[in-house]
Amino acid sequence: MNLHQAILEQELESIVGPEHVVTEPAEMVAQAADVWWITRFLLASDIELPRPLAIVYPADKEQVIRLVRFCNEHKVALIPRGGGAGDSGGAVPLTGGIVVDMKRMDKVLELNEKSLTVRVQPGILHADLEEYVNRRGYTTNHLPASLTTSALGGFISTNGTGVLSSKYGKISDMVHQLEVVLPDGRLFRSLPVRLHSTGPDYSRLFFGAEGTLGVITEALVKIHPLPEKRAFRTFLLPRLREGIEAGRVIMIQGLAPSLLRLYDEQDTHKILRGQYGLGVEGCCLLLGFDGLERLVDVSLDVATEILLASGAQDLGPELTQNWWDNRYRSYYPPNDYIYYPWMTAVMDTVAPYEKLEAIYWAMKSAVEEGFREWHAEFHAHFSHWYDWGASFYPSFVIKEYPSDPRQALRLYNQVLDRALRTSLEGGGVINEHHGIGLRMGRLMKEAYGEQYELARVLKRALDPNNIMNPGKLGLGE
Amino acid sequence: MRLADAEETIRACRFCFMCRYACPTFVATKRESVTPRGYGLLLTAIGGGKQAWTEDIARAFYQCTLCGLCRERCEYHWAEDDMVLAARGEAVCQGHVPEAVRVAAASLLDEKPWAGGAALPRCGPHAEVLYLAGCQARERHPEIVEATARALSSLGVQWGVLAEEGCCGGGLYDLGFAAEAALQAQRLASQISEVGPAAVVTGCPHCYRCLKELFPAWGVALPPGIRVLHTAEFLGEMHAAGRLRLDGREEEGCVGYHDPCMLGRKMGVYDAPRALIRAVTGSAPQELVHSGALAECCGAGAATFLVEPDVARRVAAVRLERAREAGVTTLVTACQNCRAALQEAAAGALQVVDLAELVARHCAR
Repeated sequence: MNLHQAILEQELESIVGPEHVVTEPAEMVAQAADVWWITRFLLASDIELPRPLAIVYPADKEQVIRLVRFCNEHKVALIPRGGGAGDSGGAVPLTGGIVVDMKRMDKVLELNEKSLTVRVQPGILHADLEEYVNRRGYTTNHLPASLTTSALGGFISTNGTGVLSSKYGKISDMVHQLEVVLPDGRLFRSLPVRLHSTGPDYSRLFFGAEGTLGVITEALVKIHPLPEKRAFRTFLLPRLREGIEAGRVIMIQGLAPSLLRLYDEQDTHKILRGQYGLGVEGCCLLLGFDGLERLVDVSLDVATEILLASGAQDLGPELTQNWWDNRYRSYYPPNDYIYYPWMTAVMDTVAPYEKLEAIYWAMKSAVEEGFREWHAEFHAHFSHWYDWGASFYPSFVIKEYPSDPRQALRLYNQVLDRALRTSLEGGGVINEHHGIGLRMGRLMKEAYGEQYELARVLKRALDPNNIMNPGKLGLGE
Repeated sequence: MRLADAEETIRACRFCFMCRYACPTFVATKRESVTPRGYGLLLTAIGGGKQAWTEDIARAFYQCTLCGLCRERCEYHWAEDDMVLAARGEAVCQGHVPEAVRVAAASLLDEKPWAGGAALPRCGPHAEVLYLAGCQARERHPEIVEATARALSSLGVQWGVLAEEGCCGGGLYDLGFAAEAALQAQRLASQISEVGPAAVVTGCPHCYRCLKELFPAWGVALPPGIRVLHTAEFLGEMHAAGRLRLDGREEEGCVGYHDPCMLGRKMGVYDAPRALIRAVTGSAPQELVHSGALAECCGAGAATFLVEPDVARRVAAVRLERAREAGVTTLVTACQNCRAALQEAAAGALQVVDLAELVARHCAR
């Protein structure tokens, strides 16, 4: 240990206590990789993943303020870390610095059963928050695949989306109030309600900011009563086109399905034939409603009429019920793709209805035709629907790729760039609620064009020393 | 288990975050390095030559309580606890065990045969019941031994203890000293065989698991026909047979039950302790928020209380909170180590007793 490191540790220990400053290799190794294919792949290569100078665990906002002030004064990078289960290197300490692991700040501070809100610290893993409110008869209705793996602060920082988003929205629709420690150590607390006309809602700046503009220390989250009824139904559409159109009609009619998942032909084949042994072809649509029983029943009836009029075949409730009951099962090894060394990435895209299908086919072609020599596969489902458009969740998989790490990384980025540029050219918008991080930072400038200058201006104004999670979101300068 | 046998689990766990939220050590410490994923990554880094074994690295593996909750929460029940045991074995082979582990292992190796003190009867040949107190109860918690003796004496069965009770080997096994554990097991099996009782009854879930499950795995045999029962099971049988007579007094307040990991998840004994509590108090125990197969560890598992006492205390505090949330005033458990850990965490705020103590209090006189 050199003098610099010794002094640094001493300073950090004076803020959070000696037992909450970690510099030992065991924790460094355990935190080195996230879910991003590149960090997983590099573990087996000769390329070292970056390590921070220290990992610290603050207990409260006062300690966060002191940590941020310390880092700002000494121009040390500060990387906030929630669950650490991002898909894009968002919590990777690219330039070293201090990782501020927020998981000690995991308390539920207040439950308001009148206005249905819960005030929470950001380090709580969402499964714990959901269980807390479930036990009292409520739900957050934010139920992503990463329920058990991710922290509330991480969801806010990537503007995450759960499987019931078509009714309940993204996390930014679910948070009334946000508290953030700004890069100079000042505390920002947004107004206590979200929908106001007291100037801009400045809290919006921090949804999806991935810790580049501050450290989230508290959130007031919306909750809902547990639903009286959930009802599910599965339909088989002849083609993707009819499926998208039926979904659009369901959404513009205001039926508010909580679950609406449309799979492309390839994934439909995989699910229906592979998992259920059904010898049918087409596009599978999983539909679900929740809430008051009478409303659920009538909504399901109307949605069924719309789907049948679109040429859909009604496959009954079992398949979707089964999906719902086992929806986390596919994320455990050996089901999940992370179990395998396959090169893979998600490339979530959102677009208005008139552009949606064309973007889908163009991306599919960009991956499968563009990288035919690598047998690249493109899979997708449409899972977040609005009354103006929808988001689909494409991913690519290449099972055999160059063994040389540098060549493999090049191929990975080529596939990602080509697919996402195809989407952008077709009028799509990158919707990476798994994180932009290091994986897609370079595409931010292309996505925004000249408008990205505003992001730079804001970053420079709030964080002139560029201490907050440097290098993420394309804010590398 | 050798590290090579854990390769599939290492591969499965190294990138998977799914069970982390449930890991009691993670919940108490917030460290990634003490979770199945962390262990998988550490062992991958070691296997790939990117990280050497050090005492710091080995220490991470000794913060696991081997409670098996990760395995229970895992949809595919990967053997995370076996992976940890294999890593501990490797750390022992590599000579990198932390000092606290060395001290604890030396203490377990330095067996002090126990003859039950002056008060307890020796087990004669072919006795009905051989009571195996276990090293932790006899050395650290004699009050549980006394309570068990009172309960056994009230039954009118012929029972006693070994003339020189040895150790089952469970402690050494958990610390990664498998060969030494098997030797201890062999000695104890010989002692039991010499007496040849109809049943061995123990209140220690670690001894219970060793005798029932690990002895056969280690190639250590007890004479055929000897039943091995936990105190909860045996006293329950006696109550059903009308031989355990209870006073019927209901004065314990809100009684909750904490499932010891070793008795519950590892050995599947969930109902017998609950039935016995119902028999004593007249009502089913209050279930904690997570109970049965999903009960969190008390922190004392796998000798964590000996080698990582601070971690053990933090884990215990989380578990005790579950009892507080449930409004429990008397928390019953069926393991001396759980009782000690939770008693310390409770600091008098609620009563924590072993099941044998609860029964002894209510034995009809």
